[in-house]
Amino acid sequence: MFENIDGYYAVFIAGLKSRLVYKKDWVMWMLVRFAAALVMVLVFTAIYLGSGTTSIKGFTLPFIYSYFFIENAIWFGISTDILGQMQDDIQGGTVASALIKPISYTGRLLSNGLANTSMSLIAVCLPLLVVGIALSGVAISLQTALVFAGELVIAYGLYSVFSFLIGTTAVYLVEVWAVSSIYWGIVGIMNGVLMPLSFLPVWLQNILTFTPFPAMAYTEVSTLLGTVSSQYIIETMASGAIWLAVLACFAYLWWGRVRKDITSAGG
Amino acid sequence: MEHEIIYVNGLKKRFRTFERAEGKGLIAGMRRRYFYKNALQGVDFTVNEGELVALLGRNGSGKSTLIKLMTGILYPDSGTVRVMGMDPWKQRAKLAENMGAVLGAHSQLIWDLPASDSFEMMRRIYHIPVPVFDKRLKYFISRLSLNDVYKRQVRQMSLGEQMKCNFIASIIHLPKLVLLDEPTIGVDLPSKTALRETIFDMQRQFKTTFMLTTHIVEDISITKRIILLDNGRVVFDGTRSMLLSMFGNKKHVEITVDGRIGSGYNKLGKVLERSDDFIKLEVESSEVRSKRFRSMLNASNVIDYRVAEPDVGYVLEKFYKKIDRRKV
Repeated sequence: MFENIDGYYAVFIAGLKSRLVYKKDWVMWMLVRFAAALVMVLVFTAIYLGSGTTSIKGFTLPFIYSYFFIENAIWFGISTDILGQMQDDIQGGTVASALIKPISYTGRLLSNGLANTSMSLIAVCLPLLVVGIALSGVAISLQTALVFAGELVIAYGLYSVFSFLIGTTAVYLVEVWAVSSIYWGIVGIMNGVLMPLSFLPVWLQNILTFTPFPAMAYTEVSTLLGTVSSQYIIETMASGAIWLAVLACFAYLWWGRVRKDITSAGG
Repeated sequence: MEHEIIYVNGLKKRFRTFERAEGKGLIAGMRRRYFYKNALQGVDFTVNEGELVALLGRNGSGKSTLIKLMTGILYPDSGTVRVMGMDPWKQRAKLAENMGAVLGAHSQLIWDLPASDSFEMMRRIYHIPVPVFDKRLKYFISRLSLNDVYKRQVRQMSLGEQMKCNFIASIIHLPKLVLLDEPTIGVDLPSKTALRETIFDMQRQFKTTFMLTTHIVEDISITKRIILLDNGRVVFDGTRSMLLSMFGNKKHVEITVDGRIGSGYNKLGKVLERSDDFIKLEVESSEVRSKRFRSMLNASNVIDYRVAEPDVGYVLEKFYKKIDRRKV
């Protein structure tokens, strides 16, 4: 895969250019994510005011506001469009066009996915992140920013490999939106997008420590807001990195098997 | 000694597919009957460097599957494929460096960008130096009359323009082998000719090997060799003249007269087409040289006549009929 770096760079640049064609769409996405964060803000405002409490599990209401803005920024930023690309390629048969080039299919997916992520980061995530951090009133140190960046890389890798694995089901199911909705639903609960993981029952939190999901958004937000210990951050990052390595190896072997079952336009 | 570029031996491929179960109504429409379709049932042939081969066959005969197996897109169930000495499945990316392919409607172009951006992407993927690339692109663009087109968004191009740009994207790296799966769909007549001439030029100048699948008879005119697939098997492999002579030594004669075609013409051969003042006949070659025939052609009311080889399309039609009769 690393033999044709220039080729993957070309795919990345082309991916970036094709996403820049629809600038208005990115503005709409930014508004959608702001709206999604605001919905959660309203829900939790009602919960806090209804219960008469000012803090739940260490989260005050202003912290909850910033939590959901930052969470939405991360969620949108690192969720790649690999799954959608794979479904389109297999359903429409364009996988054949991708496979006649001297670059790997997975490398092409990652390069194109990275182009999408770059656009998401600039157009959608950055504004949400700025609002979220401003609402929290927390001063972000350089050390925190670097740890956050490292966590984001691991989270991005995990999302990519999960999306790829679910994308491969398109070879057998063709239409995979239902499967992907189940996936997003499950991950959304377990990575802290719907609520901070510390709100969940302790037994579920304990189970989640053995999974890669906390490293896929919750730890990142908690790192920025300073609501978790350094030990928790290190453990989650290590666990996330190990999961990433294991899943990437599995995805590599699985793709070797799945490729044999690919069909394109009846042949 | 000629260098073998494609080697295919005992190649088989089958797919699991389904059709709607019999019956009417919504529930019946949801029931499926699954079965295995044998796309290729043991295909053997070799192609030498610099050959220009037409891979022909009816819809569903296995042509596209064969092309996809040769590019490493599909995995063979059994048999051997070697392209430029490589196993396409195991060495797909390496093989792709020296291979170009047009896969019918599956474009290599980026839908939302001008074709020029796709060409630039190809330049980087195939490591073509900028001056060489610019020169080649200029040549292909002018040859295929795309000067006013290639900087337009692909989605705004006509099907023919897309096909021509896709063709350029597939051959810009001047590969040793080009596999073309119906490359002239939707292309206008002058561009079809230009496309065929470009293929012919590349074959002559660079000894590029071309394998072409098509349903357009004129496309076959540039090829010397024809491989005919039917139901996943090679049913003919030889030169065009061999195929034409398979149904006897016949000529097609077209005669236009001033007034009405007389009944005497019917006796010269088999009538293929006829109108008031025009007749097209299939005639034995020996009959064309006969006195009787010549005197008919020299009759005072004959305005025009043409004697030619039967076209490949007509011969293929006969060939398919013969295969179908055998099956029955």
